[in-house]
Amino acid sequence: MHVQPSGFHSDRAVVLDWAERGAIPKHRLVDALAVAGVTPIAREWRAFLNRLLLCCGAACLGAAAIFFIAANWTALGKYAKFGLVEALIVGSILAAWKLGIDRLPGKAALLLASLAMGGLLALFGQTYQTGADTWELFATWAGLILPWILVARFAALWIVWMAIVNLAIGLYFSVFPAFLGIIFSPDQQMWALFIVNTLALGVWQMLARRVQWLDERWAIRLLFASSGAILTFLVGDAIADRRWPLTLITYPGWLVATYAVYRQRISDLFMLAGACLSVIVSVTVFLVVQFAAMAAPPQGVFLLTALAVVGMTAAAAVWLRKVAAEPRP
Amino acid sequence: MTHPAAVWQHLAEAGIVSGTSPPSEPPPPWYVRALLGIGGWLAAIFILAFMGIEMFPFNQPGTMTVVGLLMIAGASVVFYAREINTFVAQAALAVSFAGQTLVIVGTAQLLDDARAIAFAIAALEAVLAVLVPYGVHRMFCAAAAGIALAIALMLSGAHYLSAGLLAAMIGTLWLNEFAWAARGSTVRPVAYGLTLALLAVQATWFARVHEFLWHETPQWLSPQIGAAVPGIVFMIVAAQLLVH
Repeated sequence: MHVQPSGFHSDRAVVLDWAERGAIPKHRLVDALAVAGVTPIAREWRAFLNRLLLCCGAACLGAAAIFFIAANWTALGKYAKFGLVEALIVGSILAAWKLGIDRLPGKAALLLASLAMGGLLALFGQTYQTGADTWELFATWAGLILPWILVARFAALWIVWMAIVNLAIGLYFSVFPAFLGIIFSPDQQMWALFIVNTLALGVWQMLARRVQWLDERWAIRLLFASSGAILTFLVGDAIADRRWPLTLITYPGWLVATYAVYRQRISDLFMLAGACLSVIVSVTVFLVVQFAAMAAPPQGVFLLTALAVVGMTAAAAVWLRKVAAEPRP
Repeated sequence: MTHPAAVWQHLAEAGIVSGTSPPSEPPPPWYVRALLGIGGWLAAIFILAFMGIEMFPFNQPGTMTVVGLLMIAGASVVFYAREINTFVAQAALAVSFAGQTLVIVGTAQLLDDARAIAFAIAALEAVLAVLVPYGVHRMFCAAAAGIALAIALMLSGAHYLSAGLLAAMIGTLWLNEFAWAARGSTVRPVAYGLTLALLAVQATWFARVHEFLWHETPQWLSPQIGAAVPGIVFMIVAAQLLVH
């Protein structure tokens, strides 16, 4: 079996470090980077710039349509406004069909159509004052564009969809503090967001091994970061209010799952670093709450807390370095 | 990601290097540096709370500035040590961040002119970013320098210049990364820090924060020029990349 370290440093960082130490002659550095295969060539830069400009262009076109309508609100009639946004949606769907949704331009056209759909719903709500709540706009938006998201097979579009779903849930709980007679507390909103983002993370992570277009590290890391940030907030809240039960079960479970998946199955130090940060923040909140509850806190509690934070952060960095140096199959 | 020894062998086979693979200790990946930086700031807040409550009165700007400078100097001495333990480095990072906060707050009380304060802070942070040899420290100092520079420009009536200026600095650093490889451990963290500053400037620009905070400062540079400069920088960078 070929065994190598799971890798803390990229080849690029290693070669540049040697160059700085003088181990690679200055005039051969560009050759060395080329041999190591870590610098993009002009053709790859061209492809990257094409993708970048395409996605920025699609987003700017959507924003431009909305700004055009907002700036000419009184000058444009009802039909002109609806016509403009609907033409944009129909035009981008036709473009997606013509360009083919298996290629990036087609996917970018679907992204534009999905964003314009939000504009259309906002325009509808503004024109007819339906009395609908804001969360309904986002929920309808998410529902209406779902078929496009499903056919687009585009990780970025799924992340946009997740952002809309998160907004809908957040707004729902701020409008409906109670449902079926059960009164929601503010942290129920956070629990709902935590469950949705963690489920999405789990499903995405499982499918990523089989579906190639879902295997985008940045998207999975973004879902992990939102799941972890929300849970850390809930843990901090539970420590401050001394309401333990649910968090006491969920938090260790989440940490164990993170360790099991991202250390033992899939090696991703980003997730482990994120979990470390979450533990550091939670322990710090715990210490502060304990000290604040004392009638006469000992001298220098803040210095002690500072030292604890320093110690935990340094330990996390040392541990992450050790994990990275471990051989993996 | 390959084992460093394998990379070295590739280079040796291509005739670029000879001999055995030298040791390599590049900086940790960005998320570990972010963890260290956030941990450093969190600890710095508690150091400041400790000093504010238990050590000396915070109403003397002169004392605050001097103590802050001493803390930065003490931390810098630690970073200049050849071998440095992670715990000690992290403590020095927190002490320096706390010291910088004291210097900034102290200077802001010593000087009356907001623009002079912003320029002074930008200069101090820029000097620290270049002189103090620790990557995470360099990155945060460069970000602070970039943001202070943007505030100083805003107070000088050239708010719309900051994005283009920062973009030009970032472009220059990254395009010369290999030419300046001997100073790579300075160039890269400073470039990352300035990028963070640019993101902060852009985010507040879109939110038009300056109009609420400093609406009385007349801006002589037009927003159109402000938007054109980053665009020109982007085109120059793209052209350079495609030529290489």
